[in-house]
Amino acid sequence: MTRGPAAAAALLAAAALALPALAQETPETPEPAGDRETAPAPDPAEPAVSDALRAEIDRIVDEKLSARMSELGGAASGGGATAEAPPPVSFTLKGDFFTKVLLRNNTSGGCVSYGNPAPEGDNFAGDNGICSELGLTITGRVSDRVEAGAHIQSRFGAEWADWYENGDERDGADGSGESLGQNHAAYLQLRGVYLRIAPPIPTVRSVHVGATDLGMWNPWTIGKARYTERDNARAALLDGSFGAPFSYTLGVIALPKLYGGPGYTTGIADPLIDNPFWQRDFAWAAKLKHENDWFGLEHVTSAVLDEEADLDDPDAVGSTNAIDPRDGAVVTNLRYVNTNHTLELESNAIDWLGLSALVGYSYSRTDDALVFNSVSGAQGFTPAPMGEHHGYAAVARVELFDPADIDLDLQLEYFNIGTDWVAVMGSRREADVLLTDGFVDGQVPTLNVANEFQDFTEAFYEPVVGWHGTTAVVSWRPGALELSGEGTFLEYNTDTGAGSLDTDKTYPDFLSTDGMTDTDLFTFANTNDRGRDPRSVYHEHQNRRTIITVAKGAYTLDVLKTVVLRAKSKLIYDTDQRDQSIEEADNYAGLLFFEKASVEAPITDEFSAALGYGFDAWFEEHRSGEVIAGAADYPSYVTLKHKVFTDLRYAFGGANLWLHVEYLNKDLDATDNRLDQRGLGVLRAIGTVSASF
Amino acid sequence: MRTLRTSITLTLALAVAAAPALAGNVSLTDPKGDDNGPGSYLYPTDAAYKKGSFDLTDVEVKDKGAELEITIGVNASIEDPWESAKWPTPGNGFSLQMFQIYVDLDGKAGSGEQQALPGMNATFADDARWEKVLVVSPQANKEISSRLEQKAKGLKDKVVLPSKVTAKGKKVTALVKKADLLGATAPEKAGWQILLSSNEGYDKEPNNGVLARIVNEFEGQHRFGGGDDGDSDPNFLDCLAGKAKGGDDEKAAQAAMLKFDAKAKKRPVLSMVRL
Repeated sequence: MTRGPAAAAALLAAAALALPALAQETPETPEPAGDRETAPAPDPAEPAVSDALRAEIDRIVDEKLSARMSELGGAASGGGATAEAPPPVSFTLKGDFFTKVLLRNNTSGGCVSYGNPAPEGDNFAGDNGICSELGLTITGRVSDRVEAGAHIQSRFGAEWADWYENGDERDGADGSGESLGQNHAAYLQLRGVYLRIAPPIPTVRSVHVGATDLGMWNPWTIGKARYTERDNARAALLDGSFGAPFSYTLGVIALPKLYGGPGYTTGIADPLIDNPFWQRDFAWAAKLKHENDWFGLEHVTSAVLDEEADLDDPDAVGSTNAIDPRDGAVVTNLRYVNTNHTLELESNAIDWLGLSALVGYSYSRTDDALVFNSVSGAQGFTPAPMGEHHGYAAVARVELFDPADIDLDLQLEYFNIGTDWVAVMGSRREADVLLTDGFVDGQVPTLNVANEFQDFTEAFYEPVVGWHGTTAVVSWRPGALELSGEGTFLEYNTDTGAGSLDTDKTYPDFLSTDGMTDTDLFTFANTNDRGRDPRSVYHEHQNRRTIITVAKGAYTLDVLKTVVLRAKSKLIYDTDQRDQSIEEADNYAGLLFFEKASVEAPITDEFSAALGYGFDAWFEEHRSGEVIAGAADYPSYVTLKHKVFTDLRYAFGGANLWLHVEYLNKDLDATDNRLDQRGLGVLRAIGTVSASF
Repeated sequence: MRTLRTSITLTLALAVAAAPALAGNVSLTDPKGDDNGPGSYLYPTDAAYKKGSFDLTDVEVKDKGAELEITIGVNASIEDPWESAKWPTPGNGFSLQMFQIYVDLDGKAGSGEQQALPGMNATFADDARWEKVLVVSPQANKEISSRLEQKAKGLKDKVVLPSKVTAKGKKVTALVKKADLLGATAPEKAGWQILLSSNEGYDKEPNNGVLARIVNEFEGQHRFGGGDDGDSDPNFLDCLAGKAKGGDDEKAAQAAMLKFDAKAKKRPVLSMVRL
């Protein structure tokens, strides 16, 4: 009974032994089972193995032979061991085509509704134009641990009608092809150049050098860059982990000279600085994170440091110090420093319960010798108050997700952001840090809001600096129906009581301080009917309370390819007693209604159409005005807006088309007839065509 | 007589007890902590990819007559960091995840599609081939249709898109016409597999497939790590394994099922969960 298997083992052993001989012995050759010297010899009187066993042995031998020959073949062809072959170096090039059309019943020419509000402005913002742009993304895999890439983007602003513009600029536009400058020449610009390495260094996951969208921090410290600037930030980042529950990110980020400091500058445009030094201005940041099955805890610290040459140093350009000896080195002083520290706790351990809380501390200090006072000297346009400020922020949210199993959710939030909270590099838009619908579309924790370089259909954002209140949202979503209601009570840490806030020299008020912001007809120049600048959170006199209620509903009808009905109703009751020494005459009371309904249906799998109507009615008592010689003159406004709009969308074969057309009628009736804006009619459209290849 | 009455009572009681099953509801559970694909996958480094966001926890299929309500749970709040409502074609209120729900309607070996949708990098076992797949994505249906036209034209008639998608808490819910997804097959008679991937609107990598984020050898700001730079590694983080009861043994079962061999260009072979 034992002879057969023993013989088979011997044969297997022989076969295995033979293979190395054929293939020249290799260390990985398996040892044969049993001892070669003592293996019993086959009995010649009976067959050593059955046919089936022989076939199995043949199969094993063939497999081993084949595998070995394959290995030898690889070696012979110079390929070496395939397991050790480096992955192929790759180079990919991708493109994006984008064209936008803007049309309006006026004669303003340009390719973006709201351009650069700075006095220097731009020459491509307006309401009528067609512009195209090209984006090229290059990604190179240098090795399995190294990747390099870049984004090359044509500059937006060259209108179709700007044929032949070569980039030269003259004092005014003329009929030549060389008068409008680079913005109209669609030149290609290097945007997102980066190198990313995954080095074999303990704890280090990656090193990133170059372009980034800054999405690794949070909106309260260093916010993710807005979409149009996603390739513009430059940083060196180190990301690592001390094992699964603990991770860290360290970074140094170049400050944007366009907006990264008081006066929207890091010194280069500051009238107080003759020889600006902005090339070494950085934000430093560190994130430590712990995550387990019960909760996540994240700490982020950031420090914005804007340095300038110390003019008392004789080595500094422009120094008047002719007494001290030069030493070849230039001492610098901090023009501006802003640090932010947040600690965020989040738990989703219980399926129906979500908990989150964030506390933050901010420090902001301007060097008054190096920072021009834009509060007093530039009509209050600056993203940081003058002087030294210690600020705080706290947000806590509890979410109950259908605990009763009746499709009913409840969200509660408490928020308290101090008057002196400053985050000059916080999220400028495209983040929404509070639960509430707010006054406008989104809420961000910085005065450095970006409501420019955008079209009339895009969201507006407002700072939550000084906001203190609570929000409750109830949602019920049984099947095809969605209903939700919000209630928010809001008071303001920026209230002044019987006193006042220094908006002359310390806190910026952004010039337009009163009235509901009209984001439908927002212009930077028109200070009459657009309401307050969303950034205007500081007022000399304020005693304000706000109640926001929102009801939303949607229903998906199972007809055709489904029809979606949507409706939203928002009511804001906003009051501000302003200067308590003035009786009634300056007291603001705004009753603001926002109503909207739409129906949307896919006509085909690729094409959908929507039709909607919006109606706003704002009743604002003592909306805006001034106090002259102790007498308050605050006219009241009634604003009615009707809007009819349609959206057509088509997506096919990688191309996307969108057309939005709207007719807006605005009627503003003020108690002072000189302020009326009666029967304003705006017909406008925006269309985009895009494709990637 | 008493015996007859007892029998009737017992029969009614059993009928009532069995009602949920008869109603065609399906509940599947997946263990927590297995959002690492074959055991090695790591999340991208961007702050948007929060722990547990790609950890499938449960799937509930409710028979609502002509419609199915399919609710998928993950081990983190469903969030919308990229503000899907503001996309050129507005999305469904979440940004990160993308679910593909494959169903085997006939249970016959060798019948149905073997390859998962492009970009998933997975095949189905012979006895687990699928007839329909439901794509639940933050992207609007027309965006998905457009990509299918480009990248999976031959499978387009096998892809079902939901009539409505909502996200709340840790759940994403899709409404879909029962006849479109299951035909005449009862939910509990079908085989189910759910792949949890990440939505990628910028899906221009050759191996992105249909709106799916890829897994590389090393993670990046917006790419998963722990896989391979080729297209043998599955581009999803979690799926159903074993009997889908949520036991810890299913973590090992998933890791074994999702093993891939980049050198041999061998993709993982998926099974279906049957009740």
